[in-house]
Amino acid sequence: MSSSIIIGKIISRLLRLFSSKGGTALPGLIALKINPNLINQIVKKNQLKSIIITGTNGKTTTSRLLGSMLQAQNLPFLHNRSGSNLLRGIAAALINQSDISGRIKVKLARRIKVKLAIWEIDEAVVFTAVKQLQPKIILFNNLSRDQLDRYGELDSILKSWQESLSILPADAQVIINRTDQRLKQLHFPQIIYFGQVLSLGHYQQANILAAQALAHTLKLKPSSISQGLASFRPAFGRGETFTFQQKQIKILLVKNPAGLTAVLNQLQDNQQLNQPLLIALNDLIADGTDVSWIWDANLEILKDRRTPIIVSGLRTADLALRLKYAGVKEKLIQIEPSLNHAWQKFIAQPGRNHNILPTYTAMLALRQLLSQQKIIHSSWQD
Amino acid sequence: MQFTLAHLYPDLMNIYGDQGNVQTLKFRCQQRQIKLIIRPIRLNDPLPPGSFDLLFAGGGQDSQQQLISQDLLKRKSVLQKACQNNIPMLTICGSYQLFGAYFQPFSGPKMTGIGIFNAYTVASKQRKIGNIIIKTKFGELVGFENHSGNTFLQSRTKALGTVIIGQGNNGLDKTEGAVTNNVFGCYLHGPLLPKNPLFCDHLIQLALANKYGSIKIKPLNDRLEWQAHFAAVKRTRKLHHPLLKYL
Repeated sequence: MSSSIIIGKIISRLLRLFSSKGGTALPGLIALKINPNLINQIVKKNQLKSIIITGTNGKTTTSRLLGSMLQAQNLPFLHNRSGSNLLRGIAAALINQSDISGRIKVKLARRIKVKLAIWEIDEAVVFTAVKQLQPKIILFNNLSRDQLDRYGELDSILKSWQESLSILPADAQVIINRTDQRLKQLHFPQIIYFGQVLSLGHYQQANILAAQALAHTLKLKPSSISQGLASFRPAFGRGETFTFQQKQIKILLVKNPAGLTAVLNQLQDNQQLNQPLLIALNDLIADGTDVSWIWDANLEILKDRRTPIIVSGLRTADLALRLKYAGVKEKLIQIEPSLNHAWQKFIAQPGRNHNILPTYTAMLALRQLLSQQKIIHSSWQD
Repeated sequence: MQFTLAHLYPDLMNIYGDQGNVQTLKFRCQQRQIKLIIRPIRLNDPLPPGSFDLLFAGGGQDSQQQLISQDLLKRKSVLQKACQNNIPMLTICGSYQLFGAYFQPFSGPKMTGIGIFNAYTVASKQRKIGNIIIKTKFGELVGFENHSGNTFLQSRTKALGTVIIGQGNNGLDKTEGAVTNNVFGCYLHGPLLPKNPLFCDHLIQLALANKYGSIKIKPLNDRLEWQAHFAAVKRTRKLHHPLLKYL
């Protein structure tokens, strides 16, 4: 175990030395190549109680909400941030937080041993994650079309989830969002359900209910739960607002049809359909290489728009065409493949509430751009 | 002018934005003051002979395919007759497979198709995923393929096109899709029609020709369509380039 940790740590140092993009999952990837059981070994050594959070939408926000509640109760925990939700991301987080013998060291004011770990897990790797982490709690948020190029079809994901339940420790607790009909197919002797009164697509409320369900399962104090909710700050691109030139700018990550439709509904509810809008569509692996998903999202919500929409990203032209067929007037569709130009044009639009809807890698590029221009602080967590 | 589009299994067979094809047909008819009546045909819905001028069916997962295959078989004679009468039809991915002789999925029983294409499909372990460009008599078509089935064309059935970049029917013989009379089948999602306006207009033209005789439909302003087409072609070429793909 030690050699794989040492190599992981060395790579991690080197990466930080030579690249501005710290915190990548590469050290984890290589360490796992050397020692495929590394995760399980570190977990066992530290008797870590793992909580897995998975689903198409809301993994990051739910994890961070729970994190905020745990903080309110002064409970230390590990968390794989930065959207590194494949096994390599888990391994990277464990390597970074442990000494070379695999003992977890978290710098804390008080010396409390870390017992809890919150893991955001990609839908497609739940089975291996369960096998390695032997979680005490697993939460399924929802399942909808997302990156079929990578995951194959929904049925195969659901099947793999059921298989992961069959290898779950018997004392583990399974929490499922009741509003998602597909998830009703999952069986386990005892299931805790949440979200009965929700309508699907209201992710923010769903995430809060999911985090509350987790908190109850962990028997957190009610005061910690409410305090955690009150002090919660969204991750970059998950609805956080910042101000620039007296304009309120909001970045709303879009990844799949259900998520994009939900965001557009939210703009409609907030009466912001004619406020400045920038949509950026990329087709890298983290975005999904198949962009046909935009045809399954309800972009028709934008059809009566009277002000320009700036479109950007590696698949700008696909997005522009989709908007045309959604009924948006062609002269309002402004094509700016370069994100920098798109941003300049976007910020010059008159309005108070500026909304940016990027896919995942477009969001990362945007964050880099904004922090280079000192518009946001570079330490903004994701 | 008006004509009727039968949209087969709009709920069960629509997973890769395939309904965008129907939307595109509708939009491009609207622009020309042609009325397109869209009739969704779900399981057990009647589809009498002669009730449609154009038919579309999209892709679906294995389990959905399993669900529709029995229903489709009941429509075999109606659809074969329509094929003989030169009714244009477009079938994508899962529907395309079932318009052939059969589809043998990875697990589960073999599904009998309606045999409009003289072709059969067998699931393989290797999923064929990625951008695809094919050369056809309607020019280059660009889209995105994602299928585990390998389709093999047999005698008398022509391919829709030749693969320039991508995998196509089976990843082996460079063919993609199939054509019998005016019935087309292929693996191109994306969806297919928005970025390939010539092919879309060809379908409209075929449907109108059966009804009103040979007429020329007026060209549209396809600036964004061609921009998306050529951008997708360029992107596909880049992603396929041995060195440029890393940039």
